[in-house]
Amino acid sequence: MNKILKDKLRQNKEAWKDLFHIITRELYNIFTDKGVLIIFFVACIVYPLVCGLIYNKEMMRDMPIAVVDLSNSSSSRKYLRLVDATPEVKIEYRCSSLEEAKQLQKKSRVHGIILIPNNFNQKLNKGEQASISVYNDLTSFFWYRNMALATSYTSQTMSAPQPFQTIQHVLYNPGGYPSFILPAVLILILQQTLLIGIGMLAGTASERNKLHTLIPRDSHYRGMLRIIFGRGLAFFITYIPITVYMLVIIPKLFNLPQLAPNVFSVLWFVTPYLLAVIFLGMSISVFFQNRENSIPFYLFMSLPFIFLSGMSWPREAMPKFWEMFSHIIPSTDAIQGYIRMMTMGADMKQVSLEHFTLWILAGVYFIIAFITYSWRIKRDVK
Amino acid sequence: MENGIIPVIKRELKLMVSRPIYIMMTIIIPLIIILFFSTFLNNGMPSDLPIGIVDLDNSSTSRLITRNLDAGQVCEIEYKLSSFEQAQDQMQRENIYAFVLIPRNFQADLLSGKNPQIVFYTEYAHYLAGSAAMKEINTILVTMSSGVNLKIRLAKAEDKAKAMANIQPIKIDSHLIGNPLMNYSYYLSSIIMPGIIFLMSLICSIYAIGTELKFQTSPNWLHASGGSLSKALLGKLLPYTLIYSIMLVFSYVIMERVLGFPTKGNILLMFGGSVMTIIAYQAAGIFIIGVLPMLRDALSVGAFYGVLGFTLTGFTYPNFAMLPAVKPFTLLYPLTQYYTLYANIQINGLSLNESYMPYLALLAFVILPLTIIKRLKSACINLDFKRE
Repeated sequence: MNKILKDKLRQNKEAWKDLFHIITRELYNIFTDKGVLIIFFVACIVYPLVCGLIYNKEMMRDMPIAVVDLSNSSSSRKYLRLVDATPEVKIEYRCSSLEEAKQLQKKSRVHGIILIPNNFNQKLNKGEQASISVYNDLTSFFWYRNMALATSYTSQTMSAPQPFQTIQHVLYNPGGYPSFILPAVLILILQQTLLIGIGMLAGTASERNKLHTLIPRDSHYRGMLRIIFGRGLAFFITYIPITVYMLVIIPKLFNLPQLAPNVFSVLWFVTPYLLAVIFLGMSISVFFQNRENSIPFYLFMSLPFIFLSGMSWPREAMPKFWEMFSHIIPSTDAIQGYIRMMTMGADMKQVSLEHFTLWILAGVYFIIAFITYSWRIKRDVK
Repeated sequence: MENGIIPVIKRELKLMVSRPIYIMMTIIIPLIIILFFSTFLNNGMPSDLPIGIVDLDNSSTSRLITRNLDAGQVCEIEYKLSSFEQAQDQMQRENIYAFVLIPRNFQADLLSGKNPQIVFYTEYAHYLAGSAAMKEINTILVTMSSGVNLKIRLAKAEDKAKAMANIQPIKIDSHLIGNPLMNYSYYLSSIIMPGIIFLMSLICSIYAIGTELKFQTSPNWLHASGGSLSKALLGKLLPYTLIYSIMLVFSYVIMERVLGFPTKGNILLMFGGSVMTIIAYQAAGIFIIGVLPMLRDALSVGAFYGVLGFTLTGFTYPNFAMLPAVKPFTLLYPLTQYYTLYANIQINGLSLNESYMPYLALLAFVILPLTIIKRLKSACINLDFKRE
């Protein structure tokens, strides 16, 4: 009885020793590989800074437009003065004909045209409904948006008071586009760099280890659980400081909304996310024979992943298939939860579904990593 | 043995079919992208967005407002809530994108002419959904307010046209040339789909040249071309130019025939521009591997450069709103020129005469490889670059 217990304890001790050995060795592999360090550290430090600079803090203001004032009356001038005063647009050209204005729009000098017909003043004076024509530039959604806001606001200002008033409030992220897209990009960068880096290391191991095996021939590398946990934890430890930088420091630096109750709950929320990404990366990495192949393989996915996250395109409007598929990708639920915590001040209870999904993903990808690693090691031994 | 461009092409085709990563880069990834973006955005208009209502009045008028909101095209009332806090909680759980609050005594105040307020709340954390919901709710509420106004005025025996003129003196006729349905897919897919194919042409040229250097087969490659690096490069990259052009044509067919994207200009001008964009990206690829003849460094730099192009080009977020210091960097991307071409030709219907600048700018990218051709040749022959 006593002997069995002792045996068990010894085995246990050995397992911990192996695990510790594997973690240190994997950390050594990570920190001595220049290519991986560039992906993990340089990309993660530089990319958010560059993106933050590109997305200027303010929403688009003073979009240039052209006006054709055929009425040239006091009321048309008043209307145009009010339009010009809106933050959305700025009257850059006053044209004598619509043709002239359209030429300017074709050449992208202006991104919208307002035409006031010559009967504008008479109609208003006679108490009839007058109309103005707006020609939108449809090469970008934002041109249309600014023009629509400016003209409808002005028309409402010049109307008589209504029986009841409508007031709108933007409860979360009044900053608009820039502070909406950046947090999603931050989460996505964590995933993409991890996937690429893990693939790179596996490809390197395949190229470098004798007999092109994934696992070094080392007496401590035994027991599949130890190998997978050891490797996974090494990546996890490496990504702790990177995650803090990306999700806590960068939002401070760029003044993004930070309504999360506290930083630790955010970090606790992304813990299963990192694990899920790491095990997903490890599951796929067994197929990389060369270290460079992970870049072409993962790079193109970044854009579809942003769309699948449901941030830029509402999930209610997605086809059912893609909506279901999106939850296989860890970034989907992580982006949703992170943004709701940071931008909308949701607490852990309000993102519990996402958190749970991420734990499930971490578990499932762990099992898949176990299977693909076993397959690869068996093949390598042959 | 014969040498020149043709043997290099033959050699490249053999390489291409022998390694799955090439098939991945040239065929599978472009097809996945085309499939994804042609199915993902559905009809290009957000619909069925869940919103909530907090009806503290509970009168026939407030119920009418609820019904009208529910009947809108974009939004659907999913939650009837009893307080602001409850509604806010639902919003934080992402169950609703907006909610409308009808105050107590709303109907009574309305009837006694006290000009009550309806407040509605949205969020820009989900920017597109939030703004779409805001726009529709605002339109419905303003229309209803006008409707009430009209009823009152008609009851006072006012003429209908006169009443309308009083309610809304200035009407806006909006001309949505080019994208009459306000279809988001037109904005996004038309640039992203070709954009990722361009990105792959950049990565693929770096990969194809870098592999020769990595496995030290470049002397072999140069030998096949008879010692001329320009012939070697042409022979190596021409097959990819062709494959990616075919993929682009395919994406055009899908966009126009299947998805019904608007096309105004000369389609041949657009194809010409696309092929030139592919070549410009390949030229950028040669430049990158020439400066950094180590495959993995060049690929990392190429990936960084390429992906950033989607942010910098300005089709997701106008360059106009970027910091002035950032703007010159947009010129580093052939995709910027492609986007200008697309806007000029497909949407605004300009002719070649009116829009030749982007073509010239794309041609200018071909100068890039010329600056490093000596260095690349020496790297290919002597393999004299830093390795791990």
